[in-house]
Amino acid sequence: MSDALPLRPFVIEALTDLGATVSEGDSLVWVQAPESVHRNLEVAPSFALAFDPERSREFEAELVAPGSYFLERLVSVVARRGQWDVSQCTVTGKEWISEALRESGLGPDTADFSLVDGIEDEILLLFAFRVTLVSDEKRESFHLVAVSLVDGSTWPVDPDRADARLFPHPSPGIRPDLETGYRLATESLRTMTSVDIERFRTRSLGLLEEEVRRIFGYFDRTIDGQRLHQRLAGPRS
Amino acid sequence: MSLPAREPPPSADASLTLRFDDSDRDVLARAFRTPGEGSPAWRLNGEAHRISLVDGFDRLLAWPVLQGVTRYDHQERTALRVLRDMRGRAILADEVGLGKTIEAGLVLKEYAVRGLVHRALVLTPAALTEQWREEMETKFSLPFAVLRSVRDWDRKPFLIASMDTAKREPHRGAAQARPWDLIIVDEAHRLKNRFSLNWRFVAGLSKKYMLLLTATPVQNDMDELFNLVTLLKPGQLHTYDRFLERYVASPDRRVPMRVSELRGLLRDVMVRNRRGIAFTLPPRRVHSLAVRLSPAERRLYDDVTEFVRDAYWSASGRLPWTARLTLIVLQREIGSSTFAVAETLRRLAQSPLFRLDERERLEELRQDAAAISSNAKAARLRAFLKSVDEKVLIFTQYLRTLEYLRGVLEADGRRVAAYHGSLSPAAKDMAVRTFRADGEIFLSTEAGGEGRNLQFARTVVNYDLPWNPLRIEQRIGRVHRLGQEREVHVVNVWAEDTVEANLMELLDRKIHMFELVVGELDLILGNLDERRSFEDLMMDIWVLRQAEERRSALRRLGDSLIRARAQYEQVKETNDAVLGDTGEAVSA
Repeated sequence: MSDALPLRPFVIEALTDLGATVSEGDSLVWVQAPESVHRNLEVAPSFALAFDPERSREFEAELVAPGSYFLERLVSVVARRGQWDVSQCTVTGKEWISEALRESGLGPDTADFSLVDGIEDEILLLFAFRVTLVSDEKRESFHLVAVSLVDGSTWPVDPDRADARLFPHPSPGIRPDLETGYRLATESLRTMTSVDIERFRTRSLGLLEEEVRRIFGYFDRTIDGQRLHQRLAGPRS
Repeated sequence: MSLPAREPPPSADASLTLRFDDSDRDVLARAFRTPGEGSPAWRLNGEAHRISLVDGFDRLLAWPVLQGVTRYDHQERTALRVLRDMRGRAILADEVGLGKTIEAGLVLKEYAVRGLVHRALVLTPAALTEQWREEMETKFSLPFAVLRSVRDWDRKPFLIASMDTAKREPHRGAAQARPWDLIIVDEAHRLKNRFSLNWRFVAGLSKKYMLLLTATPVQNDMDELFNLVTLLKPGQLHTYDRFLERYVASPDRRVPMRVSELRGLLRDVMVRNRRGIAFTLPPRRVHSLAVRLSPAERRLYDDVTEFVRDAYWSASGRLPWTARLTLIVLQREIGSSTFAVAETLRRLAQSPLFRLDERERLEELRQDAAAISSNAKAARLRAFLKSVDEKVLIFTQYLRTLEYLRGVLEADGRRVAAYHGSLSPAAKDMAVRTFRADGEIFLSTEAGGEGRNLQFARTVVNYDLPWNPLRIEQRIGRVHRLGQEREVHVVNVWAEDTVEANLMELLDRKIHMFELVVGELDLILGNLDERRSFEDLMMDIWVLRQAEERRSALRRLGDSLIRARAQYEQVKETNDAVLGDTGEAVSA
């Protein structure tokens, strides 16, 4: 479990989005959940949440902490929803251009861009990937990859800023070429993660080879030793 | 677009490439064709994934969800070392009382939280299966089940089995047919012989990670160390011949050679934390309050004992196992108080387990018990409490004794916090808080605050004595544990000429049990060459009809205990000499 994000706002927002009524107390959070939700979360219709282990015994509150059963259930329920969405980013004026360039490290703080030839609508696809590497240990990372179908370009997106200035788009009425976008995004992801993957692979294989060498060496030498003992003992009559 | 995670299958290719989840196609097919759940749901989906990411073993994730586990640096360091450096294959060889079980639980929990362990097996002596289950459930929220039938190997992904059961068919085949993510072997010194069924059974299990728990990896000679390490990591100590040649002084196989080189190899597979000076527990001081029962109590005790002996040796030989257990309960209850035994007598007086004449006798005994309103041990306890000016924990095995004591102590004006198994978790919390804040007496049954920190008190009164010495030790362990800084007082209240008097003779006078460190008793009792439990041994002696027979049986058991303790001391010395500082001295 990562501590990249604070748990409490996530849990409260997730429960609210699922249709639960949430009221926050000093140390506990009280939740009334509709049937489909409390059934999926394996809790009572009304329950308390504690974010501090010391308080979880009060009112038999469900503990929310990395590794807690409730959090596992909630994450699992939330991760099954919201697998796609359409949002719109409406830009006005031109300040955003200098801001965007500045954030990308492409322009000085004081630059003023006054020449804008025009602004066109474009569909961008944003793919989220969770990469899991497993050997004796497990390492995971989360990546957002943006794809422009106009020119086939791709670029990574900071997850913390992914939804800045985005507004729900109620009626998409669009049919982008998702297969192509997905292929471009996966190629980009391969490139983005190749160094980490290679490092993980090299380390894991190195350890495995060492292990195999030791085990095989042990059995080979043990057998050799037994043969030697037998030879020294001479033929059995 | 957020795509669900899936663990890719392991790759042995020269170049490892990302594999993508097949269900990605379904998501792509559904998108834009069915209504989505909205932008917040999309964002929360991403956050759910980010929150649940696992990134190696840089730190322990599970601490916050553990219940009643005090955080100790040496346990955290050990768990991280096993996870990071030993890759889940280790011998946990801490000195007794430093928490090997907690360390194993931590490692297991960290693997489980990261989704690396889905099936785990704990192998332990039969007497410890239930204790393991309870600890794993209450402290680590791990849903272990104790093996009951051969079908459990299929049905229970987290299983605890006694080694003696698991290693024999049909269990052996069933256990070895399935791969395990993690295997924990408690009391792993029982794997000291690589030609034994135990060793071969564990070697034949298919496992990814394995933890061997023992405070004494070397019991008799250096072969045992080789066998244990080779089970875990074949080749780590070279071949057997090479090991003997290089590390064992001939002809005495108990003496190691090239000790520092050997310890270097052991450090790759073994963690042995030892008590540093700052981590030495304060001493225990034992007080024995012998009590002479009142004439009425004495009569009842003797009459109940006579009934128990008669029924136990019933000429018909028809006594079923359940009735034998009932007799043990009866004898234990009368050792606690007349209040404890009265209800059982009433129940048994109506039980078909006994003949009509026996039931009539039980009813008479019940009436005798009900007629007794005072208690000699309670009077002695009250007198003792007048001499104490600090918080006291009083343990009894029985709720009825607890209720009686609560009445008399509150009548004396004492502030009593009662703690027993019938209380809700919140009420138990409240009892501990009340005792800590304002209480004088913490009056508890065997549920006595397992895992709760009660080290702010230091006096433990055993109002009655469980026949299982490990239960007594658990009581004392509530205050005599890491974090206790003051001398601990153990007060035993017992009546003369009872089973409890025998227990005092054996445990206090013969092996000085009350002065041992928590965990040592377990190892001493393990050295007893006995398949019966200690309770059964006590009962078997008590039901002998002739006093001389009882005395000599008691003497024999006492001698065995003395030998078992001496053997333990010797093994401890050997392990210190061989293993020394393969871990680190615990100093915080």
